[in-house]
Amino acid sequence: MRRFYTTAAWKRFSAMKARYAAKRHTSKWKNRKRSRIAVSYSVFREKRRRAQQPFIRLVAPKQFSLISNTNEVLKYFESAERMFAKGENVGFDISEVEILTADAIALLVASIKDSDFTHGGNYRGTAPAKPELNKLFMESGFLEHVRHDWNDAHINKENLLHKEDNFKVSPKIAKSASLTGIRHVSQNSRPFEALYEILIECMSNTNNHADLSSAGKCKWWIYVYSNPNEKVSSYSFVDVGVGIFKSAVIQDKIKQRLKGTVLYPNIKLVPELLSGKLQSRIDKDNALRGKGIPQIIDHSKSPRFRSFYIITNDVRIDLKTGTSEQLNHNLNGTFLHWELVK
Amino acid sequence: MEIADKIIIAKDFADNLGARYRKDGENSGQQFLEEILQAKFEKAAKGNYILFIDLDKVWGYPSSFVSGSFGKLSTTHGGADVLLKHIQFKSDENPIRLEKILNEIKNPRKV
Repeated sequence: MRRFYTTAAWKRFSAMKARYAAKRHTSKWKNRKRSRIAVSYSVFREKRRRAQQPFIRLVAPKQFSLISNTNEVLKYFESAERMFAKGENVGFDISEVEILTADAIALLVASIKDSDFTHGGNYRGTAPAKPELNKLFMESGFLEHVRHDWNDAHINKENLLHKEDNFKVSPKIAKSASLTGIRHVSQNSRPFEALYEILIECMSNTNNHADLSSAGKCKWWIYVYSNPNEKVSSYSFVDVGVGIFKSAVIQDKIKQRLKGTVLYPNIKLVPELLSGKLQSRIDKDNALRGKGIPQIIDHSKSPRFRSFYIITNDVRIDLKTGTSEQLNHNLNGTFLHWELVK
Repeated sequence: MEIADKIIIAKDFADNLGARYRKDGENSGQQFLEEILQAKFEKAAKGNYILFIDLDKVWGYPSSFVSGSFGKLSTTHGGADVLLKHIQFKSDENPIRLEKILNEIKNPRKV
């Protein structure tokens, strides 16, 4: 026994233990411990406070469609976010909507599953009262991403709602999303190159336009809705990052500072965006990059796309007509929507 | 010069191509370049023969994939003249696709 306590290994171990004990008695160590406990307690206290808060009912616009009623819908989401930021809980009431489209469902699910939007708040919601809209909502796959007690919810096999958590470009999902739409509109499985390429470029742009601190960590959602009444599949791609214009870097320093203000609104950057000249905050291979958006613009002209829109920050671009519109409200991220026909 | 080697992209790599870098996700242009294209091209250039590339049976050629593979090879291996001397493409399904890749090899940088 005595022999063990005199070994070099024991002496090393004992010195290490002594150093650790001494460190634990320093004021730096104690302060850090105290502040960690305080932070975790304040998080717990905030969660408890939120759980006791009532839900503030927020009635959705009657025309709940991001594409045809962009300003109203964005205003709705802006007010929800403001409430969450103030520490309120929000009840999304879509029971009275008269028009509901797939794009609004995609934005709703992407927003409430984004912690930057909810600020840790609680949310709940209602389903549309109108039977056909209720069916659209129940079959969208929305309820697979939230806790609910509806028994009749199931995703229609002709729809696809996917959330990418790995922050990556997923060729598997692009292929599956392409197939979902093509099978519905053409009843075959023949590849449509433009559609597949658009999907990959959308995913790829999500990474490129993520905010600096989270480059490559941005989440995206895709929702493919196959309209049972006509041979049309609508695609909604939501990237809950910071948006193309907010992440853009302009060489002119004055313009860069004024970007997004009344003096230099984002809409002025649309031509640069469409020609692929708007640079995102990625420096590697910049000379080779910038062909993704022009490829999307080019493909959007195909007659197989009935409509094609990009909404990012406070600008809405109709790629079919080449027109853009300054919005009164902001979308934190990028939203692409198009309709595939035969 | 005769054809002495070939790449069938759908069979030898994947039919669902990805984006530019490996970090972007699977089946990227960088992965294709580093695992298949570059080595085969260098062998073809050294052995003075033609590398045949079959572009068919693929879901699509995203511009970031094309730029990250063929565009990158063009910038690092002597440009379009050298590349097109040793590479021959085939695309029966879509001639525009072929044009797109040739254009990327000739003009890999933004204009």
